[in-house]
Amino acid sequence: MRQRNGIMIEPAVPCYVHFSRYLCPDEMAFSGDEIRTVDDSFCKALIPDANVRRRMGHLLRIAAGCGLDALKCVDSKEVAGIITSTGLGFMKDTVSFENMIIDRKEELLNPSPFMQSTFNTASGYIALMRGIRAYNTAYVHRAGGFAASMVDAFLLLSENSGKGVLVGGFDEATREVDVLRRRLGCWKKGDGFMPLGEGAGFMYLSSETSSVKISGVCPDGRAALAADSGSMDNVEVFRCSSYVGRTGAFQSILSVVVSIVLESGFTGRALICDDVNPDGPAILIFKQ
Amino acid sequence: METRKIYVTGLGVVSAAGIDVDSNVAMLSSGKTQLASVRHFRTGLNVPVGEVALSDHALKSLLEIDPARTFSRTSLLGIKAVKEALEDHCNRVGKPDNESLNVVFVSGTSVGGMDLSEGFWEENRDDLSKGDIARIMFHDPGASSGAIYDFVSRTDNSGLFRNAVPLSTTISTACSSAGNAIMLAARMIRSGMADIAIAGGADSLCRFTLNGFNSLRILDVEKCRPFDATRAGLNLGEGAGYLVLSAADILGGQADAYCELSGWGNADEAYHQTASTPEGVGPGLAMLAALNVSGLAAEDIDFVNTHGTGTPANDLAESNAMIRLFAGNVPAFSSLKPFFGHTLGASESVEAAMVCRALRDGSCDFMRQLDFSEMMPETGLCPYNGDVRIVPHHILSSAFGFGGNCVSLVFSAL
Repeated sequence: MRQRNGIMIEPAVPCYVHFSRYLCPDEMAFSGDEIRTVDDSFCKALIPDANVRRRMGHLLRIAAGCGLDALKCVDSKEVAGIITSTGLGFMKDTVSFENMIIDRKEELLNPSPFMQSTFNTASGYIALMRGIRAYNTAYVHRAGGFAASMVDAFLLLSENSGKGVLVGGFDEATREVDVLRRRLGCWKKGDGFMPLGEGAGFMYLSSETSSVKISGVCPDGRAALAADSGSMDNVEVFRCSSYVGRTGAFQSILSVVVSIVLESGFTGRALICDDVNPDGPAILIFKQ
Repeated sequence: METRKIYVTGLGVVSAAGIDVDSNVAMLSSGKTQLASVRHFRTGLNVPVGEVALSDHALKSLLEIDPARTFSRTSLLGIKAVKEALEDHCNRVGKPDNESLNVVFVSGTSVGGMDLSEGFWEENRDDLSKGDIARIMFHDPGASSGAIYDFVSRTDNSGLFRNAVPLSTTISTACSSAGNAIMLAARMIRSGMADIAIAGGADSLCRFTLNGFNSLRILDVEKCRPFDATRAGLNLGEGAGYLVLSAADILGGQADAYCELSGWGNADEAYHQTASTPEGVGPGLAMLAALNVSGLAAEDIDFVNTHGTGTPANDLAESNAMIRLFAGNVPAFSSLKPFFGHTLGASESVEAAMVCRALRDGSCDFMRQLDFSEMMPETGLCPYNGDVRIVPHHILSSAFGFGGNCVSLVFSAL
């Protein structure tokens, strides 16, 4: 596997998308307060055990639910790996445990939010619920985790002939994140800000032919866009910024937008680019 | 195509036992534990931990960083270890003369800059419009590896970071993070995507993590006793460890490498978020996968650096996995946790650096585990205490994390 033109990293063996699922805020649920959240009630069907579901935080329901949905038609034995990426991970659990430390003065703390604050909780949960004792990992490198997780998936496909890989990304919007990201100047638009969003997007990939092929991933989305004007012919460009009105802005936005584009009626070659995050990557796909 | 061999050509370590590889080896050789009460942050918990002796201020001064600049402790520990690893690499291999080499930086951490976030949060949670916002910039783990990358690229003379590709990334799978970082780097080199990798991890201890493990009731109030029948929990630590991995085919004949990274494996136990199966299913799968990649037979392994945290569950699971893998003939093994604690997301890289030194020195003496009192009745295994001299050829090293995440690596003498 080599980088082409120093820009696009191509898989050594063919990489096809078999199932893709996403969850992002419903436009109708937009309350006008600039934070967009996902309704997680759908996970009841995917995580039938009410006790298990009750213990799961909001983002874990979304992320694990979405991943399990993408694996619904896949035999667990065929899965060579589960790979996730996230920008900020399980913020509600993290804040909840930190508040408990302060409020209870480090005594008699409930470990559940601590256990769930770990960045690989969703990849571990999906493995646990499906009994998949294969490769499992989690990238937490702002928007760039998406590129690394795709490269890891390419490697896994070439190392495990005949098997597939689940790849996904997720983030959650909270009131605290919104206040702090404004102070940090994240996701600005003109004089104001894009709405803060959240969501999850998962794809099940294998080398078996399907109607959607992944041609490559580019860790530097801006470089991919620049190259697009030159060397890449007949490529339709999809920018994450055009979806922000619906999804809101967050670091793992590309995972969600890829699934939205795949679900759309588009065919041909597409460069889907995260131009919302400064370190946003891009992915090149071909859909028949 | 012939399989690409991967050599370890540089090491850098910071732990409670010392701020470079040599001082860690010397401290381990002396047999002294560095576990003590918490000094660098405020907590009511009275448990022994393995903190790096230097304060943030002292680390900045050592690294010639303006004390007014905000850096997470994780990034300071990481910068120190990465710099050592790069200098070591240049001394052994020389500076790269080929501009077309692909270099990647892969770093693992469990909580990144939580040391800064938790302070900011406690002071400002009632009014988030107040407080120094720079402290929250380090909250995501990618920010700490980004700070390491930026600082080292600006100050490094090795020429390695000049070629670093934008694919450099951060892995966070709790206590197995650095193991996964080393494994990804190895796979990138083997596939031809990268020629050189700086891979490992960094983690600073903080109140959040200490309270998290305390809430799970797995901290020992005394010094941890891995594999001992009397073991009662783990001691947390902090640190950083980085390995420079080089494709053997890019090295000249003069290269003075430590050893070969010959195998790697990752498996998920798919059992419980924070507990392990008593039989150690996940650890066993990771060990076997690493052995398979190395092409070695179980009996070729002559030493095992265990995860060996000292919790009743981990050590039983890991022992059972070893008994299965080695068909009852478990080779000499030890845990380094009694020396510098469980260094969390950095543990596999801090300890792998010690493994690489043992292979290079041709001796496991400094990895012996002291103060062992009683064998576990379930297994009858006894850690290596230095009573016989071992010249290691192949060492297996493992780390297991939350989410059932298990990683094993195999290092082989040259």
